[in-house]
Amino acid sequence: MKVVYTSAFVPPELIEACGFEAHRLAPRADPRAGEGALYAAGVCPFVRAWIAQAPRVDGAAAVVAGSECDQMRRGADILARRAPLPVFLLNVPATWQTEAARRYYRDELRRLAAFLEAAGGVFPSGDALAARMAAAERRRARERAAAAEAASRPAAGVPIALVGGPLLQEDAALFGLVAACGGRVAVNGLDGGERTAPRAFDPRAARRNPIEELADAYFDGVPDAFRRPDDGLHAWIGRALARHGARGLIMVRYVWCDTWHAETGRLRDELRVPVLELDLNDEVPLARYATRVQAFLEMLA
Amino acid sequence: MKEPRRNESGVRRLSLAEWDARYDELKAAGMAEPAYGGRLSRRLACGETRLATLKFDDSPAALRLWNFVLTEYERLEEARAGGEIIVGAMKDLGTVPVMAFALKGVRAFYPDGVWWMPCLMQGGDGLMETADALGIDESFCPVRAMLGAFVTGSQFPRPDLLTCSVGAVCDDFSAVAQRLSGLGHAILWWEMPRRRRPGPGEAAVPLPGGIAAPRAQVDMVAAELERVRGAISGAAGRRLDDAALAVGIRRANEVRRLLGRLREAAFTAARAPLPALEMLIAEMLAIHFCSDLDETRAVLAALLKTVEERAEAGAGHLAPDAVRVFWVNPAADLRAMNMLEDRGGRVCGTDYLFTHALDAIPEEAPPIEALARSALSDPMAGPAEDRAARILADVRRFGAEALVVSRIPGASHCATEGAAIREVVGGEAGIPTVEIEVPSVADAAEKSIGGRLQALIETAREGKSAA
Repeated sequence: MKVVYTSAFVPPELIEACGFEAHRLAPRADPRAGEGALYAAGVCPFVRAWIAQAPRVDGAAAVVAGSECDQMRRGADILARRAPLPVFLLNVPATWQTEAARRYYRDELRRLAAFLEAAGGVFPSGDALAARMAAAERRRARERAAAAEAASRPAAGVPIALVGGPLLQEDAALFGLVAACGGRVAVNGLDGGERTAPRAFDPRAARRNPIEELADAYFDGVPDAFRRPDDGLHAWIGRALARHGARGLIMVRYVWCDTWHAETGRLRDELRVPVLELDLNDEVPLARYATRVQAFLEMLA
Repeated sequence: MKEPRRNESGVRRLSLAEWDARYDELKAAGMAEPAYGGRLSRRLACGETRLATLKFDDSPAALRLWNFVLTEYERLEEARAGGEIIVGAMKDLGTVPVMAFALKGVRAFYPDGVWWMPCLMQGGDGLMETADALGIDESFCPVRAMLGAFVTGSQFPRPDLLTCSVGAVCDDFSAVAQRLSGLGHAILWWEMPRRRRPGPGEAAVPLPGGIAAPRAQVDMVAAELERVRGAISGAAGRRLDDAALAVGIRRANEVRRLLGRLREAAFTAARAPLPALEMLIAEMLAIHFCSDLDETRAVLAALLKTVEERAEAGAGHLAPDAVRVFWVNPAADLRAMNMLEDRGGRVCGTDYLFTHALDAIPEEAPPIEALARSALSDPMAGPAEDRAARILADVRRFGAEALVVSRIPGASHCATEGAAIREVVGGEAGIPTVEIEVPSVADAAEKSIGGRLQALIETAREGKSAA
């Protein structure tokens, strides 16, 4: 049985320790999805598609949404009213600088575990969670090593960074579009990319108090545009650009996404590399952006 | 000049030009005014040209209200010059100002309130263009004007302390405030968790407005407000203790109770004793007392007296059979309130997004906990169903016959919330509903907005006739 989620602050290790398969859903573009409230002007295309498709995932036992954006919060309310599955909204604090915010996030993870138990799973034992964390850490270590190895090889194309939120399935073709235009994605700062990986788990802390270590690794390790202040995101972008020698940055966001859209101005103010903003829309095929991407990469070449 | 038409009850709505003659008349009759008083038309010289397109209530109490609101930033400058500490309380709509005003020599204002400046100045303020240049374009709600105001320094003095609630707030505001922070304005961010219903067996705390929240959430907000208390104390150079806070809460509750009486009297009178526009402005005073708590009390008391006298005499605006309309969300263009009345609608019930600032703050709880409970009852922090349930209760209480959801252009919450509210209220109360989108200057959209309001009024009238 699957638990469907998308937020980078929902740890798949916890879902698995509760006895479910963690299914991170990248929905298909579906501009006519969710008649009624979700089909209104001003609704983010990603949220619209995700809310419509999450409860329909084969084998889904529950849906977990994150509170990072207003539209997803409200989408989860709609889903809770209409979906035949249990729905959980994980409240992720926007602030990060206080012990109260950290404690609140930890408590939210405990509440999530209780919810998953009620949805047919088990409340995870410390050992079960620690084992899942260790397995995830080994997998991420392998991925990091592979990425480092790939980065050390000479590669064609102008190195750039992609930064932004999650993508609809169709828009994952952006990576190919960048390559076709003579570029190379050296930094994946999108949701699901290296930006949203938690910091490495401390094995001793994970054995001593796994849920606290899990919470801290995600809470401290994932810089995001919704956090206040968002200095962690800008510091991460600066480091990633320098480490990979990225010569430009493409900010990718969906129309009506205020959180990522507002970052573009500051990035343009502060970065020493050019910034291109793409405001994707589920009613506009990605190919329509090709000219802008191509012009951007030609300028960087 | 032609004498403005009085209805048979003797009450008039005046244009700005007509107010000049009325002003002379009142002055000749001995009207006393506070220091910020004067002719409304003098505001045209400040660029507030939208006033020339509005229709106003003709009472001295309404004149005082308008002068109070329109002179806020000038009064703030005077307070700054007098050595007072100024707190800019962003987004929470009613909590931090109660704390700030609890310390003598400290006053709070609401920088978000500058969102009406592009309306008042019909775009002549240049605030939107400044925001545009910083990447905050028209896909954001008109509150982006605040960014322009901070950057240009053209509207209000730079606050000594700037606070902003974040978390379960609208993304537009959070993003605009973050852009401001990125430009070097120090902001104390405090967390507003997304309010949820207490789970089975979970300790629960009753909140104002008849809802409840888990104890853990109240404790979280209380811890955040302790940080705010520390910051205000730091800015003021003296401790904001519980005793001062308790007094501050009682003073704020006096304002809230006055406003409650005003709303009750205005919305339940046989005829509308005060136009929708003045009622909207009066309700806004609850958020931050328009930078002067004592004067807010005096302004509201004068309005209440006028309303009670008119209600007693059966006097009021509009025909007695005007359709009773519940209005949801503040309109970005103040003229929208006139538009409704021009079409025979009368506002009888409102939810301008700050109902938590209308409810009394619990006085029996320790002050910070009481404020936390009040803050958590913010309609923006909880699910749309909670907001819709309160609207439905008020629709029934005030006998509203139609519902208007006024969309704020670009606002993240408006995309889905209006439909949810209409579904609940329209379905349960069986009244016609409409959603309109009101830009900061709605002249170009007046035909469309007016047409939708007209259709709503006619549908409600048909329903009345059929009943």
